[in-house]
Amino acid sequence: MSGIRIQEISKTFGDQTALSHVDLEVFEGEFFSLLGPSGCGKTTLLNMIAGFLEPTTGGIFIGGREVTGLPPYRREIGMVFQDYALFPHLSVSDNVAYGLRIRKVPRKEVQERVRESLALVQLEAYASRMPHQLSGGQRQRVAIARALAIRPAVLLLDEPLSNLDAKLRKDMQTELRNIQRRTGITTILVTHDQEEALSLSDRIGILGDGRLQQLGTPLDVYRRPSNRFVAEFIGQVNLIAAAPEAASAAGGSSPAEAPLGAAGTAPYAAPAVREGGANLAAFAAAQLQAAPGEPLRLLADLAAPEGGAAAFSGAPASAPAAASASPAAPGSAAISASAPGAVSPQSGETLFMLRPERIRVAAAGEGAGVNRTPAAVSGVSYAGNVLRIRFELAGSGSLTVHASDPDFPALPEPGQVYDLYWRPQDLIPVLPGEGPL
Amino acid sequence: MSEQGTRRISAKRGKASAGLFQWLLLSPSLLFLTLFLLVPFVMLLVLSFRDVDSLLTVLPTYSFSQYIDVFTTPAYSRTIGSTLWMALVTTGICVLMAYPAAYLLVRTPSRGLRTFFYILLVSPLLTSVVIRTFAWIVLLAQNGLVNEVLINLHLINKPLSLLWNMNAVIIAYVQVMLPFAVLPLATSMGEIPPNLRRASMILGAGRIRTFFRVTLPLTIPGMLSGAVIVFSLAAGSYITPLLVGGRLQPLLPLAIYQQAVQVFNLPLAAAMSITLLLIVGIFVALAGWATKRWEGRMRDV
Repeated sequence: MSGIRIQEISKTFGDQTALSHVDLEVFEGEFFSLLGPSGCGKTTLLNMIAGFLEPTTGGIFIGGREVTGLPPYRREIGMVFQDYALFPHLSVSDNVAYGLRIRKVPRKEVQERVRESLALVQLEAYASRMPHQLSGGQRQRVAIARALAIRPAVLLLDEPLSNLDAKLRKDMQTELRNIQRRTGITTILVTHDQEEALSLSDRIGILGDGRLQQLGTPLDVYRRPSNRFVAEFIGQVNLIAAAPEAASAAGGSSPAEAPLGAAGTAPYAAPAVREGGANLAAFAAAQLQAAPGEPLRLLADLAAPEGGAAAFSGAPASAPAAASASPAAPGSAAISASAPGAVSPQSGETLFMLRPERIRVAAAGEGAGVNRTPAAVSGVSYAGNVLRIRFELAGSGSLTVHASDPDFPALPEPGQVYDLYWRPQDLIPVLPGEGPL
Repeated sequence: MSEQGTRRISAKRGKASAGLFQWLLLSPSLLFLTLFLLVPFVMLLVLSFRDVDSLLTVLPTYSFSQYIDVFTTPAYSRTIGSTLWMALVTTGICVLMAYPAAYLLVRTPSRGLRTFFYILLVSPLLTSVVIRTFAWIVLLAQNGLVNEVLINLHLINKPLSLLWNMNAVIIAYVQVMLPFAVLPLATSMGEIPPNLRRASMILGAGRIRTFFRVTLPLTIPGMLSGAVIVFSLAAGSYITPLLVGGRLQPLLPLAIYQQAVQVFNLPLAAAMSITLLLIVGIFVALAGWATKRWEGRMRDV
């Protein structure tokens, strides 16, 4: 068992850059996922770890040994392919024995280890079958047994579950994780399925546009995405651009109090508002208007442990260049849950992420807390456990809400007005565009 | 009647009319094949059982005398044996040479280069058999190019007799029949999912072991279908052995021609022809059986 070090890897095909300066470490015994949309370079990276491609620059180390330049058959890696790649002319046990016979393992031991590997995936009874006599899930498990039989240093999984139907995929996810725990093998999973990555991994590396966008635990990348690309790729988001409220214009609640030192730590030029014992920063979202011409006032808790203050060290307010030079992340439009035109932060604005499931829905006039607005239902999509509701604000802008099924005995009707509200710490600032990492 | 039942019946009727239409489309070629292949074949079969008198006049009686003649006359059985041997050697050489060629065709990434290789490969088929064979005569004759080069390099003193023997026939056959071996092989090689090679390599096998353990077994059907074509053509062709081997080579097609056109023993020529057909038929059947067995292992038939 050993860890994997990816050191400053870049890969170009002709004048196309597939990966640029990817640097990461997968720890020993870790279940690590490389997640990204198709074409982000994740498969290229996996192929370089396996030795099917060589990096243009940079190095790859497995267990401290440099493997860059070594052919695949010298790397001692187990790999499971998307199409399983079982040898159709060999029986299940011959498939599993393939790597052992290549290594000239004595016959007795080959038999033993084949049985052991098949037991690990619960397919002992199928040893003499041919691959074409197996179901998709069984083939998948044979492929895993074959990869593990050679007792590799690391296990690479190239979208191994994408050819299975939804229910089987869930079962195989559990099984994969169990096998990984039992063997303790360092594992890299390549996937474009964010749910799969979140539920299986110890840590996730998110690749976008050939660069590592974020590296962190599932909780990190979902709750504290480092930039807009990650926020939009993982789960659904409402993105809200908001400008710090000018102290003089702070209407409604109590005028801005003295920042109490918070201004020194928080890089926002937003007036601090004291609310329920927390220091909140006030913003005005020009694109969300509860009434025409009346930007929605947002109160964000930038020091909240759940929030993004720690991860969000880059200061957009003082670095307007980042905001103005923010092209829409590639592929983000399709993933985004928010209206596309509504979220280009202007210079000096901050981009906030508000997860749809963080917004609460109450009967009109009954919303609670500092962030609330009335909004009318414009569309409902029922997905069983969750209701995806699109709300239009009276002035402008819209928000997507994921409400839980039991909260709505009857589906909301289009046009119906509710109160939407959310906690200050649910507003997570994100870097616009893609971030350097 | 239920709606479903009605639909099933109309579907059946549609199928029947589609079947009729297919037969209509096929009828010209079926008619042609019946008239010019099936009928002559039956006539040949009948003729091969006829007796002849000492003046080689065909008698109205039937017996196995011609077949007994074919299999008991030492000259004829030697001819059968050497025909079989020559066809097998040609097939073997073609298959051996086809593997690297097919590999090159499949693995060439550039489309243009691949097209070039294909054209190069099939170019012998695009030349007339006479021109192609005369080119071999120019090359292999006593004062031909090969002998002159060898003499000028002082590798030999006297010119080798490269022409008018079985080796010349085999060389000329390999040249023209190689594409028939390469094309089906390249097709079956191209159908191997690339991940199988990768899986083999990541499991520790280098290129050579991957070839013998994965590529070779999976291309057996393609290799066999190429072998069948080469074998049938090599066993049955007439012009190439006549031109580069001479008419005295112990080969069945030459012997048949001799009996039919020069000796004018038509029943014997017919019996030889049927024997040749049987040899090729047995080879085709064996290859077909092997292919089916092998493919049956890999998928449900």
